[in-house]
Amino acid sequence: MIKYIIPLLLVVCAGCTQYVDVGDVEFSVQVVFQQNVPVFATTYTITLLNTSINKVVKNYTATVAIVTEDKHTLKQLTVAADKLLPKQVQQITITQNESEEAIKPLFNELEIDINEVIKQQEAALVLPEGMVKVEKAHYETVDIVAYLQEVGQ
Amino acid sequence: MKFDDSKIYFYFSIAVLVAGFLFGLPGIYSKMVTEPAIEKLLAQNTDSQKLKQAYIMLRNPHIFAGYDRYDEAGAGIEYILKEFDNRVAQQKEFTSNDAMYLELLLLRRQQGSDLSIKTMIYFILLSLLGVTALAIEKHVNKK
Repeated sequence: MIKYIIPLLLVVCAGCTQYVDVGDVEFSVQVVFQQNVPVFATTYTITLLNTSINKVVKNYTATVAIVTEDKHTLKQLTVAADKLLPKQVQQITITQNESEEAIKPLFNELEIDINEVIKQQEAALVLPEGMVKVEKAHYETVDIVAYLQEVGQ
Repeated sequence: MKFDDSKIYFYFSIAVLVAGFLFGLPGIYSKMVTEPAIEKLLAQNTDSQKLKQAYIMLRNPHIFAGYDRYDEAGAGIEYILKEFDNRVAQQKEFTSNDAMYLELLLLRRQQGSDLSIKTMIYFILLSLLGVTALAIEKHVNKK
């Protein structure tokens, strides 16, 4: 009988241990194209969100790739954040000047008429989730209580 | 043919009693040690450092009142945590006005302790039920 009770107790104990949420980061990318003849000034605003409530994400670096439907990479952006507190949102802005030739594939993928952007002088949009792929993310997580004890002293 | 269920009742009683104590211990510890310490710090609500210490203690959640699980009543907790985490990280001061929000976090912890102790009582009652069944079984077997 005892051999059945011990595993049963272990299951009960495992069930009541606190669920530990691993620090995780969610992304969204907004892009603004500004016609700045003969190049396009493209501003990428990358929003990072630490989805964990118990962990601080530290020394975060990642490569954000903008990809086509068939996963061909159109653009790569490197983002870095010193620290992200739980549920904290941080925005990183990257501005690049790009030639019409270089920006064309992205416009094609987004089904934006390049002539329309030239006419309107500006176009802003949030990239669809499927077009944003996070590669090579490196970060460490620290328990929030340990972190607050360290900085609070 | 008569089956002797005494062993089943005996092990059942022991198992639920042990489980009951496992569930109850975090609540009892919190009620006897952690919560009085936090209340003492909150009583000195003009001292920013004491309030900060109270917050750091409250930031370590009760096992029965984790911050990653919210019901409707606790939905605002997330915003309190975000604000105060930022404040500690940026080494800003806590004021006596913040004590009210810290008391909300303490209330959540106290509710977790209550849940823990009530769960323990429930399991102890189950254990007593097992003991009663064991006594009846033994009595019937003697006859």
